[in-house]
Amino acid sequence: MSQSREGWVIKVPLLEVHNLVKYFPLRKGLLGRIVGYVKAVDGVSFSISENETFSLVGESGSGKTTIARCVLGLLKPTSGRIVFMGKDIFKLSKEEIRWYRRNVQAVFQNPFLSLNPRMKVEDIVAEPLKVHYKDMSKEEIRRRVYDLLEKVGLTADLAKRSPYDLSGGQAQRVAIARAVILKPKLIVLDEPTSALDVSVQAQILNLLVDLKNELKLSYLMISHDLSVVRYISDWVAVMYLGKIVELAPAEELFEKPLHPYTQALLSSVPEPDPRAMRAKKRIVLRGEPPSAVNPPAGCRLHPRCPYASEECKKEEPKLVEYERGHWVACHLYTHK
Amino acid sequence: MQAKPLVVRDLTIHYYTLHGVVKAVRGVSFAVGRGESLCLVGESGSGKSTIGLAVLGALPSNARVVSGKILINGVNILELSEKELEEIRGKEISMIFQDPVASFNPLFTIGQVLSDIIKYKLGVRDKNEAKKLALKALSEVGLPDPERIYNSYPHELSGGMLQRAAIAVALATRPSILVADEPTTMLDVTLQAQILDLLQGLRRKLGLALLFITHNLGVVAAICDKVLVIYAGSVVEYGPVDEVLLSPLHPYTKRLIECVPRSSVKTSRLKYIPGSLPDLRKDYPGCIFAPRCSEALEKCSRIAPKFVEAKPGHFVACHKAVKAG
Repeated sequence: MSQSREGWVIKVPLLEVHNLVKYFPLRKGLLGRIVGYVKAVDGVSFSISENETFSLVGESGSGKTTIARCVLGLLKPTSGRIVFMGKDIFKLSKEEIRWYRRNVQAVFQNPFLSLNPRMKVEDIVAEPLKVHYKDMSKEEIRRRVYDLLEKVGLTADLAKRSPYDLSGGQAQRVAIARAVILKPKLIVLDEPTSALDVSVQAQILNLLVDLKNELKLSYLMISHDLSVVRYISDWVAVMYLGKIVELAPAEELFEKPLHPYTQALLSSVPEPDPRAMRAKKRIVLRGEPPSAVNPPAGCRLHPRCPYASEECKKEEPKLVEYERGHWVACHLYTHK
Repeated sequence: MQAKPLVVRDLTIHYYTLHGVVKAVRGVSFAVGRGESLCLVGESGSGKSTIGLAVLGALPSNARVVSGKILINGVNILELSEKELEEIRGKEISMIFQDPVASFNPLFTIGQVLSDIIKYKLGVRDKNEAKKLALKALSEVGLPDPERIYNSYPHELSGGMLQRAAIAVALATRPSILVADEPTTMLDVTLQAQILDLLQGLRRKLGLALLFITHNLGVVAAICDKVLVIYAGSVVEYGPVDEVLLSPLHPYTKRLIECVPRSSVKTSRLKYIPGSLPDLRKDYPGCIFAPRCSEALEKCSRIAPKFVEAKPGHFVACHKAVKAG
């Protein structure tokens, strides 16, 4: 679904994900017999336009990180297609794969795990240039690295240090610099601020917003933190057990959540305002998410949903456009 | 009037490391009454977890309480032997942690852990009686099918269920104080809401004194009566939760609240606190937050502000806030 609006501007999708399915086999015994599948992602479609932030939110096991890994080409989907600038990313030639990797970069949750402790900061940030532009001069590489370090808010004296000598916020800035040095079109952000203190998180989020505007980047953001998602996103898709249950422009989703799961998630987020917390009407889901090996029949939320009816136990609701640009998969909205 | 179950007076804790003496906690005082919940809130390096461990007499071997008192039901635990501490731990004070998986030995079932505690701490020798108490503890924390949970190993339970089991273990011996160190940080929001509700209910039902340690100001608003804000090992503000979060006095508290993005309102630009945590090996004659404070006065870096009651029940350590009030 591309967001075509009336008027002249029709945004071209940068990344399209069509009916993505990823099952992980469950093996047992000496011979590794397949006894079942973890249905991590079960038919997900969405698209991201240029200079847009698209967020996937959901709890552990919802499949959001699996989607990110498929988009990065780290996992091969069971079925479905991922199309980047018109090309299916799993049918690329060797040369095109290099092109894809230049244009799609990633920033992960823990910078101390994603940065090599034996390398200096300047070498970490320079490495993508050395790999992708073999004939670039040393001076040019150095100039680009130091310009970028300054842009992401790191002083030149940090360039000679190891990432282990940095604070969490500084290390995440290095990871971001490494991701943008090739001037990519899309960056996958997998929980980029979850490991940081709030005051540092605010700085990193602001940096990501600035870089997006300046370099015309698109982000695929993976997060469980709805407050962070509201701050940074243009579009939000809410996932539950491998499916998108609701998809809408960020403001619309937070102001008018339709799906009971989205409503429950939003009503559970604690906010630093005790009066608002007491006034909040909480929608409580019973129990815990079931296993993705045998997801419930019908609507996957029905055993926990306060509004579940007979229909929800039998028939799986389709993701339909309830209002312009606002998609929801719930029987409460299928008979309007 | 009965003394409060937990009273901490002027606690100072140092860590002895290869890189020098880290002054992690710098003269912290607070008290938690029966049925009351106090939040220690601060960022990494504020010393909040160190205080939590000290209260249980469970500091790592390179940490030392340099001065101060920790009174548990009137007894200063810093003067007790390890054997006397054993008596108090579990019986009068218990703790739950961030990672419920790490709180359990993977080789024992939940039932074995619970029965052991009931046997040794409560002196219940009869096996059937111990099991009955264990099942009661499990159902008290809202676990469905306690019999099955009793016979389960930790890996068979999800994070949310395991955290409930950890709470059951902590409260089976009916302590008067529960220390909870970031108990919901690793849980998803819907489960976090469930665990916070559970702790809130148990606190009321059992009259627990709850010392809740967190970095999340939203969680503070959800569970606490009183808040103690710490920065770099020093208390900067203390008061009722509505007062501290809705009309904060200390510049650090104000800035910290402004940093938090919200899901209920659109934020156009997040504010942040410039600079970073001071070197905790050094001593600071003035206010420890002064170098990062946008409201700092000339005397802030020279003279340490006193911790004073600026409004009834609302304390702050800040020259500026006191002057304005």
